[in-house]
Amino acid sequence: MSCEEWRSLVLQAAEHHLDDLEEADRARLETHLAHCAGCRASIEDQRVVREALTARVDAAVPPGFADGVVSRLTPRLRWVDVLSWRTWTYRLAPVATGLLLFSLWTPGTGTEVDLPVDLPELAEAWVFAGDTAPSFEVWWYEDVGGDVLLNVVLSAEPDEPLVGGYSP
Amino acid sequence: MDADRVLVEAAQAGDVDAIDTLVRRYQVRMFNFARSLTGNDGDAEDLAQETFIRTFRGLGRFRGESSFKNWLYRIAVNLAHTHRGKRVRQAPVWERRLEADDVSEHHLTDRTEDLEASVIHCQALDRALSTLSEEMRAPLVLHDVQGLEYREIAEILDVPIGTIMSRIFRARQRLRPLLVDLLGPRDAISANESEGAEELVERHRRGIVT
Repeated sequence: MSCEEWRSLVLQAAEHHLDDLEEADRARLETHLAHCAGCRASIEDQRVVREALTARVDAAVPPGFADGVVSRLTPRLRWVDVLSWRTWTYRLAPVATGLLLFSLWTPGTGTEVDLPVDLPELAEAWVFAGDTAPSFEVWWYEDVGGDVLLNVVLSAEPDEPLVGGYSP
Repeated sequence: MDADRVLVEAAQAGDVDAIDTLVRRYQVRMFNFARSLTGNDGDAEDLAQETFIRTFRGLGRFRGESSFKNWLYRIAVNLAHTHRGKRVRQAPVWERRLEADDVSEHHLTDRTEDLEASVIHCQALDRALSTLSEEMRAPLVLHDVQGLEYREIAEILDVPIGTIMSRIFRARQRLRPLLVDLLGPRDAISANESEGAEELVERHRRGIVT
């Protein structure tokens, strides 16, 4: 039987587990050790290395280690995130897209407004400077509201500028 | 039902306090195990942290067939194996030789110096450990440093117990000459050669070998 085959028993001897061995195995090991300096040295080597490792002092864990792990596992909403425009952009983007699609899909529902003046008549009365824009003073007449002005501008023919004066 | 199992079930249900308790319970073990595998504090912190993160994110797959502790170790070993090539933050410690200066300072007397000596002792052991292949280092550290049984190590590493014992035996054999300065010369053995085998065995059995 070579020393290689005694390895398991040598290992147990080095770890003081000889009591766990069968009496016969223990007797065989004693007989072998009596004649084998190599295995005796092995037991000693195994023992001293094991004892050195067992006595190794634990290093301290870096401060905040556990907190760091837990915070990575349980991310919380921070004020910085709340105030970040990126956060809101990402969160509101689907909502904005939905609203846009809805507005495109829904048929137009223009609101009919009872205008206080006759628009064509008003438009004919407006003064345009050259052929591009209404005279500036038109904006100051009290009975020309924003929606009225918009309608007139949108319905005006650019190549047939209106001429004439406005008399409130 | 053991205390870990209760906490694991609470953590599976999303209880943050249970996660916190488990992390604090095993952080010293995991950090030091990672330190033994990586050889430096920075990589050890990363490895230990990643071990916990993977463990808890995959907690839904934990069925309790092994202990939570062994599950942690298994994930740490797998991560260390996967990321071994990436550990380049620090120069490889295995390229350095154990210097006599590292251990000569052990002959110190007062408590402060004893503390320094224990740090030096640890560093010398870590360097010696880093010379071992991953295959030998993991079972040796799990057994001698972390105090796990052969059976548990076999389960964690998924290899037969006989293989674990063989690797531990060879690992210690390889470490012995590297620790001469730390542990003393081997010639103490030759002084014992005239000692009777029965007496040697008996002393080992009682754990009184000096």
